[in-house]
Amino acid sequence: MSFLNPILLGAGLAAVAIPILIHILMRRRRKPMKFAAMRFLIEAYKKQRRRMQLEQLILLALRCLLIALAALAIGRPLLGEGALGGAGPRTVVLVLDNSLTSRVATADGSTELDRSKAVAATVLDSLDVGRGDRAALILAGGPADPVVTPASTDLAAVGRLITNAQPTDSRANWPEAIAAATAAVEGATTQDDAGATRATVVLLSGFRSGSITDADSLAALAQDGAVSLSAITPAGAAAGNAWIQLVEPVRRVQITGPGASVRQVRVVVGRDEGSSAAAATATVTLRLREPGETETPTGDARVTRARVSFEPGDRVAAVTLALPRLDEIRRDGALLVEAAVESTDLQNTITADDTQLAAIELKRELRVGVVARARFGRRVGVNDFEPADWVRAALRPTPELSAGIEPVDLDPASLDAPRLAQLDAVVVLRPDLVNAGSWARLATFVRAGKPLIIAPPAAKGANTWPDALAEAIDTDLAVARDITEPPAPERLATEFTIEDSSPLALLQGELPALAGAVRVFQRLDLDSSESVRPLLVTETGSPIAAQITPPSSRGTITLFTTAIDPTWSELAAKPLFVPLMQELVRSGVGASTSARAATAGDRASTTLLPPRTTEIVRGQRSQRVAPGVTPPLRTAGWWRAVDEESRDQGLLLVRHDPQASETAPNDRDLVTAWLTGAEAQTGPVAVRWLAAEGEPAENTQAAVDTNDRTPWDMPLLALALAVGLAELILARYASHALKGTSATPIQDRAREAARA
Amino acid sequence: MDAAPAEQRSTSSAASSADAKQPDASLYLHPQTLARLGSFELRAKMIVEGVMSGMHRSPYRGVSVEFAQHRAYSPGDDLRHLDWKVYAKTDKLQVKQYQQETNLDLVVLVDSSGSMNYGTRSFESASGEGAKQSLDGRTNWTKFDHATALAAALSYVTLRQGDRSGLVVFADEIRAMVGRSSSRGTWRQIVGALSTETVDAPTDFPRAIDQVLGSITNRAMLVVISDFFTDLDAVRTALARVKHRGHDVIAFQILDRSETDFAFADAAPFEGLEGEGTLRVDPRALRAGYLDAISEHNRKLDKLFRSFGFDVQQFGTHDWLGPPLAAYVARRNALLKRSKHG
Repeated sequence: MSFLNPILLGAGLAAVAIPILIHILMRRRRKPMKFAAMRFLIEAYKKQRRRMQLEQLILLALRCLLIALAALAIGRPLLGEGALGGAGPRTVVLVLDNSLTSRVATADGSTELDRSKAVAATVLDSLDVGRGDRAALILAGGPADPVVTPASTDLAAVGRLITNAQPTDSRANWPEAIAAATAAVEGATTQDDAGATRATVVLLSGFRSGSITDADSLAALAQDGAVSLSAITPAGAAAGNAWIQLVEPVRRVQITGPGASVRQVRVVVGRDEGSSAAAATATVTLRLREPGETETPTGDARVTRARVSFEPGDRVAAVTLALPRLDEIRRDGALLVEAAVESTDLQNTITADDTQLAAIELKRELRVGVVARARFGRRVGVNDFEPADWVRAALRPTPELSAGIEPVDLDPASLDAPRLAQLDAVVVLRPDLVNAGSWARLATFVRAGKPLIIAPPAAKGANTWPDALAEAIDTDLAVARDITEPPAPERLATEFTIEDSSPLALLQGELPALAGAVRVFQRLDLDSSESVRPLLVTETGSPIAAQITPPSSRGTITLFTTAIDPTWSELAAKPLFVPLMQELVRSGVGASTSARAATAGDRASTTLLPPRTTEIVRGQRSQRVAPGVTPPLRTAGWWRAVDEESRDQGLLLVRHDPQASETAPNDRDLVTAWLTGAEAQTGPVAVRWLAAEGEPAENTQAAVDTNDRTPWDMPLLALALAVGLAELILARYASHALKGTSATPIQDRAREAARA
Repeated sequence: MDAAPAEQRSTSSAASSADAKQPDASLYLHPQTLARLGSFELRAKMIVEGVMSGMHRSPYRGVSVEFAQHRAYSPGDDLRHLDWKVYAKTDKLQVKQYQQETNLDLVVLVDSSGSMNYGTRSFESASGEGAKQSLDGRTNWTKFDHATALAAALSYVTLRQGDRSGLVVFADEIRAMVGRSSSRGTWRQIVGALSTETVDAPTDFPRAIDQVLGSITNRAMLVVISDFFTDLDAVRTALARVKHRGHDVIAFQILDRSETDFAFADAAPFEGLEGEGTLRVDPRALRAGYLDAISEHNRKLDKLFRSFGFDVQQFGTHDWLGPPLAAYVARRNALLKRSKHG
């Protein structure tokens, strides 16, 4: 048993001595009264002595019991399992969920975060600094922020931090938050004498689907039952929400000169599970923004609108909008594309996730290096075409007109870093002539996000270059060294699936028709693996083109298994080749944009940012980035990455987490099961549920109680009242105040006797 | 102090007041009236006169046939004893008094044990507008005060009858004694003996009776004034001896009001007056038991006296003295009548 008010309890129990003292003092201090008829008094006393002594003892016991019960009631005892020391200080770890769903607005205009803050304030109010109570504060919005750990006795400061807590655009990172809470509890326990601390972890969240997920693996909270768990009663209903799930420019690098890129942007709008049953519409806007330090729109003229429709049952709806002509704005540099839900007939209780950003980079043209042995002399026809000629022709089909891509001839021996830095993509047609150093530079080129296209040389002979390539990009490549000549020419397959993320996604419509015309005579066998994804395959399933994603690289490598030569395949001569090369380059360069995208909840690590980044800057705020220093990214928006000399290294876009926008409720059993899953090591969790929705926060006084224990003050008070009544009755009876006064005096008795 | 002048003064005043407007004679028998008088003699006189005037039949009626003297008529006197001749000559109402033929010896035994030194009535209340405290400084009116007042009154009546009167003040032994006599100095001696104080000792009733019986030869009437807070077996032994010697006994049990109703509420410890020690009890808790005990004692006491053919009459310190005096007179007359006829 423990007590909420142990000091009052001590004072009350000390008061038990009062009736005993009165009893003793009354015996000692009274002056004797002379009385003549003592013999009769003694006679009566001898007859009643035992009964009177018993009555007096019972009375004394009742009076002591009365005061003791009152003291116990004032002390507000807590009964139940896992009870800790009654007088020890308490440690309360407040885990405040300030994730995206905490922005859900309630009917009175306040948010769920406001309500959680009110509950937290009430819990803080119930603590007693004088007793040594402490509070820790952890903000669960990812990445979890242990604001006050270990627990502090400066409850006022904790209260201020709670008041100032801002919502994030990320999901709650419960595993991190619970781990921090556990650390805070353990820290508190070690700071005190063993067993003297009672720790309560209070989870202040609406526990909506956007906040918690079964996938979260929570660290064990309760150790030996020393920690109790309280939580706000989960929200009862879906709040209703619509959000921008995705905004994705088809071309992230936009060519502003001749041969301009496709200016389409794909926008996906998501909606709540609770509101997905009915059809609904939303109006989506697309707006260009300058990535300046202020959020200045570039003007309404550059806003495009589209209506998006949800079919019944659909959780998401997509729409494609076209960007305005970019060359009217600028010819190069970065621009932000902001998609927003302008209006919707859906209930939309969170506005922070109604916008989403994407970045595009403007370039006048793309420079593509074609690595082949230089050929001197004049070519008179396609019969004289070498692979480099086919590639140049594909990249710039009309030599007299710029198509936005400018091929640059490169000798395999001249692949130095300055040259590569000037290029947006590289096509290697003589890999057999590339030395190890050049492979290393090409690997760096790919890691920076730029596309590399490799085709085997047309010359016959053993191919050893795949080994050098594999070593440079640190990837296992199962490329056969010998050429495979199928007994009959193989046609390219016409039925295959093209994923949205494939660089050939835009060719999805034409590809089957174009591919069917291509026959392959010779090829190198290539085994598919995790890092090797086929783009084009023959009817027999052999990859003709495959995409390789080297580890920790932003860019990709496209590897042809057939040389760009008519003796190997008809690929170069067929209509497929031009769009294929164009698409591989144009979509491939998308990964090389200086803008990096992150989701709120991530950390700004050095791998996420451009290599030379040392700092990220957002308005007046800046945070250092270094190995081991990873500033948390909690709110949506953009940062500028700068190097040590404050030179711009590109943009860092932070997007709200679309998964965090789901406001569907989780009932109490589900949340308990979620917590229980985390507590499997220590048995089921007993959660004390606080302040249900619509209930005032003031009823959370007992949040710091352990487990299911409730104060027993009222039953004890009732018991004390009953004892008080019993004492009154017994005192009246024992003092014979009733029958004593009614006893007939002896004169009357004598008269009655005489009459009889 | 001589009794006769006082008696004359009192009688004349009583007569004059009777002529004008008859006062309630019983007022004179209230203790406060007695206390105001300041002396035993006056107290006794007033008590007796009050009793006599209040009775329809005078105690002097027919007890003797030999004329002794005249005295002024007082209301209540039997008209048969009016001397009409004197009235015809002097126009004054005079009553003839007769010489008593049979002498009755009265011995008043007054208990002066410790328990008699108890009373809750204030001296001022008992004395009316008189003294606030007694001569020895007490502020309460005790049972002993009441007993001595009654003893004095009885002796006064007796001496006026011409009977012999004696007094014994006793406790554990005889503390003071006045031998039976009807001489003029007897009254003074009795008053002097009654001025003694109580002692912190229990009553030894048989011993006192033994000593008294040793000094009485002829038949006498013993009046015992006590609270009788003593062992009744010892009383029985003493009464048996008295009965054996042919004496008559009338007992007056004096109790304080607090002893009869025991209306204490304060839980102070009680301390006995005869060395019983201290008892710490809640008086309310013991009241019923105490009243039972004292009632039973009184019942037994009454039964005991009646078993010997004696009377016992109980009265309180708040009561007036008329009833016991009247009881005595009635008893005396019955006794004389019995001895006359027997």
